[in-house]
Amino acid sequence: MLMPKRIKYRKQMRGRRSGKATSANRVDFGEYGLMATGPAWITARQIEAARLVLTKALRRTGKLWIRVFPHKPVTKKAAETRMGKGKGSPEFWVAVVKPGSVMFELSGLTEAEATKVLRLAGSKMPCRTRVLAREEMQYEGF
Amino acid sequence: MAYLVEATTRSETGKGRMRRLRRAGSVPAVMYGHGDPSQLLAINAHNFKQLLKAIRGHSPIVELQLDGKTTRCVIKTIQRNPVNDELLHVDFQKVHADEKITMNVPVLLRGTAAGVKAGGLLDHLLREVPVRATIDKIPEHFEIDISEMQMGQSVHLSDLPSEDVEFILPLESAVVSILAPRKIVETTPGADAEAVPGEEAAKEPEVIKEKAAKEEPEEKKEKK
Repeated sequence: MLMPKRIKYRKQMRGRRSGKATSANRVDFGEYGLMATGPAWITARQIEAARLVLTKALRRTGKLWIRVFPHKPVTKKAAETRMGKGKGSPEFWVAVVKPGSVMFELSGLTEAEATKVLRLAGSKMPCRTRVLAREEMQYEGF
Repeated sequence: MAYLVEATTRSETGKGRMRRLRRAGSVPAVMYGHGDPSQLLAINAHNFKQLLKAIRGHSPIVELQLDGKTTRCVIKTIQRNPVNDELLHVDFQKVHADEKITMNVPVLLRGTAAGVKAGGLLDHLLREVPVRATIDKIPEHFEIDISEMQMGQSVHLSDLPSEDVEFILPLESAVVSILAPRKIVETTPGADAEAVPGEEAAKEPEVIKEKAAKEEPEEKKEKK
């Protein structure tokens, strides 16, 4: 499963997930993408589950881009522990996504195939998702 | 071919007023260029969406009609709501016939590559090519016939027609390639150095700060 190799601090605060995605909010690499339409913490396990679905469907014909990475550690206190005595220990890793984040992109499939497989991958996600195709012209940069 | 966009001047600015404008079916826009003061505009959202569909695959040069005057402009930026694709704002830049501008020109592929039929993977690396030229010299799009491309072959920028057009990117940049079928290419942009996909990684990653703190006391001991 995905996780950072080196980190500066073992534990992080939870943070807020307000607003919409200001970057990675369009299909930049492939032809079709899976966009989160709500805010969520995507765990490394969920990313791996979606990756397995997508790679199985792509077989040898496509290319896959995973645009989220679980940079954030989530801590949990042990079961039946009284409150206090400090923050729990890191349990798993999550990627923070906001509405509009494109999480997965792929190319090399027809629209019908891509939609079908991305919907399957979307069902592994903890938030509502939308399948979208690349815009022909993005009108940006110059 | 230039498309016509009808616009009206607007005097209102501000978040609340622009939201009301959008609710009324318009999109706030701005026109600027050539050192002239920028003009605040409003355009019809529905008509502009239709226009965007029509110019798909062509260069975004439009004739902006404002108070009976027509100005040749290029659609510079379109701001959208990333979630529902609602148009938020449009930038138009005035262009003169003798002025060189930089623009992204779409690349269209024609046909099915022989290499793809043989099981290869089509890799469309550059979907838009930034070029610099006067407005009348900028092509609508670059069309590449890929039907005879074999596995391992690539089309580079140097293969595209470049009369009166200056490419911004190096000429050896690949535009489209046919890759041999291998393992599925899987990339995690921005996290290549950190990613450990599919491997049973260590339970906790190395903490940079803790390591430095541990080393310090040992050094002190050595000095003693």
